[in-house]
Formats: sequence, C-alpha cells, structure tokens
Amino acid sequence: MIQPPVMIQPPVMIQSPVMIQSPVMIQSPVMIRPVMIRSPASLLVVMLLALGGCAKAKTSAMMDYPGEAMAPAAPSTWDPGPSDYEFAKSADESAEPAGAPAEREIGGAEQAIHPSGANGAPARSEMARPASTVGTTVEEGRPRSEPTADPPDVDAHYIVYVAEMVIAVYDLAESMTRAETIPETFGGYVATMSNDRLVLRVPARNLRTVMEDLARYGKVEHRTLQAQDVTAEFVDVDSRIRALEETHAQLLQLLSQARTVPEALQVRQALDGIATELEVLKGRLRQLRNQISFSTLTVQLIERGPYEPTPSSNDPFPWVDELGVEATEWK
Amino acid sequence: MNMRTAILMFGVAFTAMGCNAYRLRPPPAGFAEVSSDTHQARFKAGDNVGLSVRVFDNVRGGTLAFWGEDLVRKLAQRGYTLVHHEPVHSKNRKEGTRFDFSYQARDGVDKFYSVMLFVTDKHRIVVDMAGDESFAARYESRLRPIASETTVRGCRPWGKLCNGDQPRLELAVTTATKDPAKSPDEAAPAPVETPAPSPTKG
Repeated sequence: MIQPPVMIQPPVMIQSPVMIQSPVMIQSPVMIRPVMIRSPASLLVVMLLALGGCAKAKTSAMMDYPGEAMAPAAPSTWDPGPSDYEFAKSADESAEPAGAPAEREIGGAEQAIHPSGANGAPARSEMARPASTVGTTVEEGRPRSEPTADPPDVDAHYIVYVAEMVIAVYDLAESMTRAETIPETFGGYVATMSNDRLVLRVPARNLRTVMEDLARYGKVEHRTLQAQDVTAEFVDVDSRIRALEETHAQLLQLLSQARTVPEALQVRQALDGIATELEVLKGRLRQLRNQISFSTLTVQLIERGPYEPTPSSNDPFPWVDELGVEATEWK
Repeated sequence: MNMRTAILMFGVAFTAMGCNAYRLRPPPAGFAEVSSDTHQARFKAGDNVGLSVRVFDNVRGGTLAFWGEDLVRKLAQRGYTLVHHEPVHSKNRKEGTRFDFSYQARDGVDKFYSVMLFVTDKHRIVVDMAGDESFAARYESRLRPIASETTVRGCRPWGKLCNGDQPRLELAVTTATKDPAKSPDEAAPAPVETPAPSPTKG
C-alpha cells in the first residue's frame, strides 16, 4: 500500500505540469500521508521533493492535501543553524535559474525606463506599482501558485541614472535656496546639502526637466549623466524572491500538517532560513526600485565673478591683493 | 512727540546711519547692484565694466598718503601703469585720491582700472572700476560723480586724518621699480603720466 518515496514523486515528474495535473498524481494524498507522518527522514524527503519542483511547477497534490492543522510548537524566534541555511539555499537553487524565459516575468512590477532622449537623458521613466508576485487562486486542479502577470516585456530595461552638474551662479546663497525647493516641485527630496553642494533625489521621469531648470540658474560649467543598467540584477532578485515565497508558502503548509513536535521544529527551521533570505532579497529589491525610480542628481554651485589672484607675500597689509581688474571687472 | 521720543529716534537714526563705513545709494546710473553688505558692494554695467566699493580697517599711522603710495606701488608690481592722478571729494566733503591705471590682462587684452581711495580714522574705503580699455573714455568721466555720491564715514570730529596729505607718487613709483624682490621683468614700468599732485594741506 505504501509507495516507496522514489516512486512517489520523482523530481522530473514534479516539474512537468502535465504530470502534476494528471489524475494519477492527484491521488497522491493517499500515497503521501503515510510517508509524511512516519519519520523525520520521510518528511525531509517529501520536503526536498516538493521544493525541488515547487519553485516553478506546482504540486497540486501537496497543496490540496487535507491534512489536519497543527499549531506550530516551535518558538517564534528561531535561530537557524547551518543546516537550515543549506536547506534554504538548496531550495533556492532548485528554482529555475534567473534569466530563463519563465523567470523574466516580473509580475508586471516595473515599467522600464527607456533612455530615448537624443542626448542620453531619460526621456521617460515610469515606475508602475509592482503587482503581487504570485497568484494564489485554485481553479479546477490547476497549480495553486501561478503567476498572474502578463507575459514578460522582453524590451524592459531597468536603468539607474546618476547625474552631476556644476553651475556658476552670481548669487550663491539665493541659488542654493532656489535649488533646494526644486525636488519638492517634482516629488523628490534633498538627500544631502552643504554650503555650495546639493544631492537631490528626483523622480527619474523628471530628471531632465530638473536639470533644465537648474541650468537656468547660471552658466553650466560641467554636466554628466551616467546610466547603469540593472535589469539583470533586478530580474534575478525578483525571480529568487518569487521562488522563495512559493517555497515558504509550501513549508507553511507542511508545518500545518506536521504531526509531531520534532517534525514541526524541523520545518520551522527551514522556514526561518528561507524567511531570512527573503528579507535580504526584498531589501535589495526595494533598494533597486528606489534607485531606478529616483535618480540622484549632484549639483555643485560655484560663484561666478572676477578671478581673484592672491600673490604670495609677507606684506603686513595685503589689502591691495584684493583689488585690481580681475577682482572688479565682470567677464 | 515729546523730548524722550525725539532723542530715541535720533539715537536710532544715528546708530543706523553709522553702521556702514560708506553709503552709495542708489546704484550709480548704468550700474546694477550685484551684492552689498557693510564692507563691500559690487555693481555691474551692461558691458561688464565692474564697480566695487570695498572697506578695509585702518590702523594707527595709516594716512591717505601712506595708503595711496602703498596701493600704487603694489599695483605697479603687478604690472599696472599709473596714467592719471587727482584728488577727489566725497559727498560729505572728505578728501580722497583717484588713480587711473592701464593694465594688460593675461589674455593680452588692454584694461583700464580706476581707483578712488578715502582714508578715515576707522576705515580705508576703496571705490574702483575696471573694464576693457575701449570703454575707458566712456567711464572715466563717471567716476568723479560717483565719488560725489559716496558718503564715507569713520572720521573723528577732532581728528586730522580725514583730510590728510595726498600721496607722493614719485616715491611710490621709485620704490616699485627698485624693489629687489622683483626681477626687472616683473617690475612695473614707469608711469607715463604723473600729473602734479594737488596742493597739500597743512
């Protein structure tokens, strides 16, 4: 009656949606239940098999298994050991590598920033709100975790813009005051500020407008714009998050099905490891999103006026050094 | 208005009047004020001719003659050639001195540079103007009216410094050309024109 684990769910079969949704596999509750409750080793095998396939293919049999809910007996804060880290890591690695066609979906998260301006400045940079990464509906035996996003936009690019300007102005104080207010106008903010230097964070779609406005303050002595393509990293991080979230959800399901405290603890350890990695990845994704949607513009203001040479002298009255054509005439 | 109010208002007005070492308002015709504070004011004409008022603290023994000679000598060391010199008077009848220089900038363009110097017990007030030599004729006649619009402050009622002697320019030029610290190439050329100084005052 009890099937050996090898025969239950070979990884190859799990990754095949056709096999997952076949009636043969649907009957797996009967097959899996004895395996899961027998021993921790069996539990581990089932978990590994599930993680091996659930990153992309969905084991409806596992999800639909109506096991008894069991409150987790593990403490709320759990210190994951090395084994947990390895488990989480292997679960992560079991997902399809970033860059695979299916992984290019960002869940409709971000609209690309396309630098279509003639001078390389960002013409448009629209950042849409990221959609939920994974759908959770169950429809007629279909996989429970299914991406709900539109097909991936292969032309999508995620660009981080960093710009610098050096502007010579006649009235430094007034120009600084005016420059301070510019980010507020466009929905940005002042990151840092000193006497003659501002670091502004402005929405990427408004970067060109802000730079044009600032250029009217005086004479632009220097202007640079750097674009860093972070598409690969963004897609990779997003894909890893999605895979880990699915794994996390399935481990939660396993936790609810655990019959003994040791089983629950073991699943909980794995959960904690995955949760930690998820937080790291989500933090990085938030950082990338911030860098993409808000460009960094460093503005250096210099006072425009006569050149004032200071001859070296030990004269006790160097007042004449401050006089002369260079200090008086305007150029 | 009673006596106390009048005294108070007088005191406030006197205090306010005495804050700046100079007064030049409104800006001279043809100039726009770029910046202004108690020790400096800067103006700009449309053709980039600049006009400045600068205030330096005076020291004991610092007379108009001393500072005038100091100024001419040091400017001569920097390549300025004195072409004209005459006494001027401020709006409040304080005597100063005016120097007109010619100068060749680093890029080879000829410039004019005119300086009016007023020395009071507290301050040295310099009113100077500079621009391309081609504009010199247009602006040389405008400096004297500017002097007559400028009020200089810092004279003690019992002091004699504010109407002291005019500088002795021959000495200043001689010192500049004989300065051992400078090579002959760096030394200033001799002034091409040095009008006779104004009558000295006793």
